[in-house]
Amino acid sequence: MVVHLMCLTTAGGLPLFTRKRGDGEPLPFSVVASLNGVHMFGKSQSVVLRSTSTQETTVVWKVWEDSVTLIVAACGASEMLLNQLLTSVFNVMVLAVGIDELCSARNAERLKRELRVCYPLLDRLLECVDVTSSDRAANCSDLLGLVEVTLCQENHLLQSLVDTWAECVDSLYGFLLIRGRVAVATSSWWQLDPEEMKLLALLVSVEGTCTACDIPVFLPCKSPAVPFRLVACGLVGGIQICALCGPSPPLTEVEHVSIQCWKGAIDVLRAAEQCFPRNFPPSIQLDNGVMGLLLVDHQAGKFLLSRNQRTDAGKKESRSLSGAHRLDVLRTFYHQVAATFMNQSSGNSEGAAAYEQPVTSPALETYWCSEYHKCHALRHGTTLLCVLYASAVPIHTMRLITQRTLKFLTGDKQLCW
Amino acid sequence: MDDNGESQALLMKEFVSENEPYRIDGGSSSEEESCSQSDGWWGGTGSSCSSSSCAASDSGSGSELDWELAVDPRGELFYIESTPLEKPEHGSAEPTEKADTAKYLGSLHQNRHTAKGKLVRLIQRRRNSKRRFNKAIPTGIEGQPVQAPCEMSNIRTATINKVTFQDWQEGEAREVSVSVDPQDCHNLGRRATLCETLLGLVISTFADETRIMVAGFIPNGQAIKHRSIKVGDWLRSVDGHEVTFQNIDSVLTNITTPCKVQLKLQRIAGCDITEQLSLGSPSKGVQQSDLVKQLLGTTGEDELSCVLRELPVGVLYLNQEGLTEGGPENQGVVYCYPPPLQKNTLGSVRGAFLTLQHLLPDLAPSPPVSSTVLLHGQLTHVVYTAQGKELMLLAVPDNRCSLYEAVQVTADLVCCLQFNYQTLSHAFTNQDYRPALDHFFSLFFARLLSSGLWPSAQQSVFLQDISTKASHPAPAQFEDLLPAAHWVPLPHEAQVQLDEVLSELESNDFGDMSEDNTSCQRLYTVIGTCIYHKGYLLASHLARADLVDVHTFCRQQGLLHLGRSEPVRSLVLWREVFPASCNRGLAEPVVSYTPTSTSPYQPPQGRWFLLIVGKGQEMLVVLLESGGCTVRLEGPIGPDVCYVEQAQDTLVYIQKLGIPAIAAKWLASGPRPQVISPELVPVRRTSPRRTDNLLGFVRSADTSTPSKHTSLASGSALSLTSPYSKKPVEVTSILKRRNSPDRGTVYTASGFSVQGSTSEDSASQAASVVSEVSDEAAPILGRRAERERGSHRGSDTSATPSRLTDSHSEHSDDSDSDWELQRSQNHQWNQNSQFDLSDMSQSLLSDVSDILPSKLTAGDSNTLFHYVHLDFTEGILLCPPINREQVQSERLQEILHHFRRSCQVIHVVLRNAVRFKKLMGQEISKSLINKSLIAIKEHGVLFECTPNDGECTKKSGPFTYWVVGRLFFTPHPREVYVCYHDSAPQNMVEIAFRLGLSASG
Repeated sequence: MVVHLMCLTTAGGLPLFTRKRGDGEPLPFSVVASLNGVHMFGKSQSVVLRSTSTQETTVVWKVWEDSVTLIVAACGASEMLLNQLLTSVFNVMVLAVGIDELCSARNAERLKRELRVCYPLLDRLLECVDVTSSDRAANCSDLLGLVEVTLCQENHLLQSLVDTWAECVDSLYGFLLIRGRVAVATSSWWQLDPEEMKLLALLVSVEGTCTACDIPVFLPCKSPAVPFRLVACGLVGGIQICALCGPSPPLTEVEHVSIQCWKGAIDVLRAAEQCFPRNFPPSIQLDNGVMGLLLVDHQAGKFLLSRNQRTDAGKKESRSLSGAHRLDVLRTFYHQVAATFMNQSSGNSEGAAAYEQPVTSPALETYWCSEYHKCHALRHGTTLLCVLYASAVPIHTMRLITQRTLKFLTGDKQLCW
Repeated sequence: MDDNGESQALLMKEFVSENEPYRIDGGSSSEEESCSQSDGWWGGTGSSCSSSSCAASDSGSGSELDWELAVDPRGELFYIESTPLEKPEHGSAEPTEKADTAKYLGSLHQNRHTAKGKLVRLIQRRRNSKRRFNKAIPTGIEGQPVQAPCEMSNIRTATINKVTFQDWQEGEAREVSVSVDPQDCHNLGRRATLCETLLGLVISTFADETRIMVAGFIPNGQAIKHRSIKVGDWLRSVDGHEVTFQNIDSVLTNITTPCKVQLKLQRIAGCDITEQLSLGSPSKGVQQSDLVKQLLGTTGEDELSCVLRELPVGVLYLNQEGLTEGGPENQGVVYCYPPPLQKNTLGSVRGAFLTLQHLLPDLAPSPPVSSTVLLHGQLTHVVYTAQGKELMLLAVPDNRCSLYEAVQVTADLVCCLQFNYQTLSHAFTNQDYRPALDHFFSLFFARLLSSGLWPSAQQSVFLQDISTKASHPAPAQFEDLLPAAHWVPLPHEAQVQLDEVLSELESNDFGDMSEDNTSCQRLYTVIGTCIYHKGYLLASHLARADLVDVHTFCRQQGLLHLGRSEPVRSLVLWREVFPASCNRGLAEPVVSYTPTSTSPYQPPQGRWFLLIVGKGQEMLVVLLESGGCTVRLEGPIGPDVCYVEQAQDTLVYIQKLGIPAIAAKWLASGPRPQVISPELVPVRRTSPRRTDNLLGFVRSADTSTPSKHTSLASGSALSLTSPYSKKPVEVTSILKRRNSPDRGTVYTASGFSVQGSTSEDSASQAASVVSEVSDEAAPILGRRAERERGSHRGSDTSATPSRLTDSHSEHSDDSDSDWELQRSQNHQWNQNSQFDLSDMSQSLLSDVSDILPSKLTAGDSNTLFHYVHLDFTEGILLCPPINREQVQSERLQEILHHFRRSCQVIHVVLRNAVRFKKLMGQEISKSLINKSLIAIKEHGVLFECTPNDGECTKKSGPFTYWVVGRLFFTPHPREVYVCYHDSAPQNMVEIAFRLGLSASG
């Protein structure tokens, strides 16, 4: 299993960067050049190559703004997923250097150097596509284009704190990250494009352990040409408070304000952090058959991924799946289901997209029965809940539990879903 | 003429025999025993049916052999004759390859209108009569129906003066040397003339009744190899002897040793005929139906390819070897459609796909399957099919054909081409196949663009249609793309009958058909047969791979659609094929379809031929093998008259048996796995009206036939067979796909013998002649019943031991006896076919009425909309027949669209699971399959069907329905897909169980 990502200038075919994830040799330059050449040749004959697939590998080409060509080749990923990846990759590039720099790349060498800063972020994105790698850490089950949230019982308390803090640092866009997941954020922040939210949260968690940071960012949709400042302060271990600011206030002042605002809420924060890795409060009891769940809101662009630890403790681990594998199954299920039956988003606005998916109403529910587990997905409006069950749970029970769980999670005011 | 008088009397007798079966029964059995023996049931059927049709309609026997003229130089034949609907005249056309024959035929048809058209029938009649004479004389049997000559001579005297074939003396004369071998002449059957056997020429006369005109060719004869001999030529001399129609035979009989003879021919009516034809034919109006014309390729394809050029479709076959830098623009392109290359969609960018083909193995472990491109703003899929160093590219637009469908369609196409031409390379490189391929692809794309349906409209309308339709998205397809035949399991009795008839044909024992045959080695072995009704498979005796091949062939050639849409008067297709079960006739196992290495049986290195005969809406497919024990055949082989007639007679026999009626009823009512239309859903209880209707209909049919015998017989059969029809079925065998033909034969057999006895009863009632035949019939039936029981491995205890031993001893004595008896029995059936067969079909129909509609779903009411049962191991699928002519409700269309689209996705997931199961432990770790995707056995999707604005006021509100696919591993992988209303939870295992149950008769 290997994912290759290539970026070249459309005009000259100069390679800007190549990234690879998974085991396997990096692609020789001749192959990269040929892949680009084929696309260029086709375009000269007014045949725009979009993708090519073999039995298991898919290659996808995409040209952005007539200046950057992105090519990705991956095993076991659908074309739709790879298209999504390329969108995110381009957004990362915009985030780092701005659209102007990309479009009018006078100096490819300089651009190449500038793009180096986004490598860590790109690698994280590639993880989202990599589905079969065995050595992956448990905490990077991630979905493209959606920001991961955590539902703590303390969220309604934290909400007011975040709002106050954002006012103090003179920002509309403040958000609180617990272990890389958004707990609460200002209402303006939720108005951002899901892609932007995703990348900002990811950027902060990639920057990792530093107590405070100040990064210039371009917002790919909102302001691709004018940079903002992304400031982040570590509060307690694994918890960061972040905001998008203008030129002021400086980072030192932000740090100062943060300490002022949050020093009274340390206990609340610590309690909220306990929520991990279940990601929703222990007060909500789930059925024993539930092994994990994935709650997605396409419109808000957020998702919640959780595994039910009660079953972990209660049952012998002989037959049940390991935690990471469970999340993997859920994610695969989501990709399969979202790609085929429930993609009502149809956000891709390319010329050909109109032809895809004629007048089809998306599915309401779908399920899988495998020999080891069962999956069930229930859609309600734009919210989709995928639940992983033990294989012993009957199908009609599955439907009932899923319905009840969805009601619990989305109905609870304290959780601020 | 003495002869004439006698034959006339015989004709009368024949005719009478139609009406009074009993008398001829006695007569034939007492006086003409030898006749019936040597004749066999084939002869019986042939003569009786042709005589009846002769008596009824003059054109009957003439059209029987019309197809012989349509055989092309390669021995291929594709002949369809539509049923005349509006006009009494029937027309025929001819494949594209041999233009001159077509013209000739056309002129003949033109002549038909002007009452000169008897000519061709005359020729045929003459040939028939010749054959009959040939047959009758050596056996010396007076009973042979020789009604033809007298009739013919009548016709001749009546019409011959009007036959003025345009003959001018000033045609060019040619000398042709033909090698002749009287010892080793091709076996043409009993009725061939000397000229036919020796020279391979079918001859007739010009208006003066003396000069010989070339009327046609014998498919594998000597003459057809010489392209300079044309139909319509005047045969002036043979080896310098001036010949006339009167002396030709005597001249030819002088040739006793193999030698070369010089034929002198003169072109008589060169281009004038053709010009007249091309002018005349449009004004003559439509004789063939539009669909048939389309299939035969008689309509303008140039316009079609012009239209196609504007659309993102195309096929290219590229050779990647021997390309040079500065070569011509089109180097490496072996085939291209739509031509020319410069305007072809793929033509200019083929390099890109070639590069990808080379490049991707560096990236991935396998070559590319498909590419998606944006072509003139339209999303288009390009599917790769690599064959060694050669590559086929096929482009189809996404809105007509999703990626999944495109890959399936391509696989289908490749399968069909390989079946036809052995390899893709053969198909595309050989220039001779070019016109046929062009025609094939034009149809293929036209069908693809007009949402998978064969066009039946007028050509111009149709062309417009294509351009408009091509811009709309097509409904999803699933069942029609899979490499599996849609099987309709008939009631058990009918299935057994059908299997038996097919087995008889396969036994290939018709040596008695012509006396010259008896001493010869056989020409072909029948390796399988199958029968279609309205495009649905009724029974198949083909190996899985062959069935898939045949089905694909029929689908791609439009024969399935033809069967579904219109009855034909006659269809004959003959061509050499390369079945997958025989490794496509390749020595090296290129495609590892068959486990040749493990099996001790090596398929013989031979040649294979596909013979399809059709009549009405039935189609009989016969796969013949030449090799092994048969005569070695060289060169192009045309259809053999014996085999074609044999197959045709079998088909006629099946029709007489009433199988089509049962199948039609079965399809129309669909009582087992019953499906409902979505409009009926909110009604909690579906009323059992449908079953009432069925019963009522059959009853009324019973009573409406006033014939005493039939009503009596069917009545008794009904009462006697009905207890058996509710047969218990062993639980263990239910999940097997197919009822082995033997299962439950206990009841079948006894039901059968009951029938036999009833017919006997009524016979003795009607006329107190104790006929030997019917006496004989009862033991046969018993014996046959026991034979079937014997094959049931003694599970049956009702048979009396004495009889069992009796039959067994006879069995071991000589296997022929079975056949003899069978034949005489068949003969009997044919003699009084009106009586016996209708009787049988009646009883079979009554059997249909007895079967209660079964329902797959659990719960009070039936909630099933659609189902598909897929069995790739057998190459068949079960699903409810969808009446395409009927305007379906929009709702059902929407549901089916969702169903099929979901099935495509589920199918991929399930196939993945199967593939994974087959991997060994070590390969699993290496494989690139997503581990989370393995071992999935069931996948369900819930959809909501919201009514349109217009109909939401009606009682049916929005409702939800499930589409579920399930995989079963044992005994072999099968997939079941169902679509049902979400009112009661369903268990897929139970549904599959019931589905298997209903399919097993």
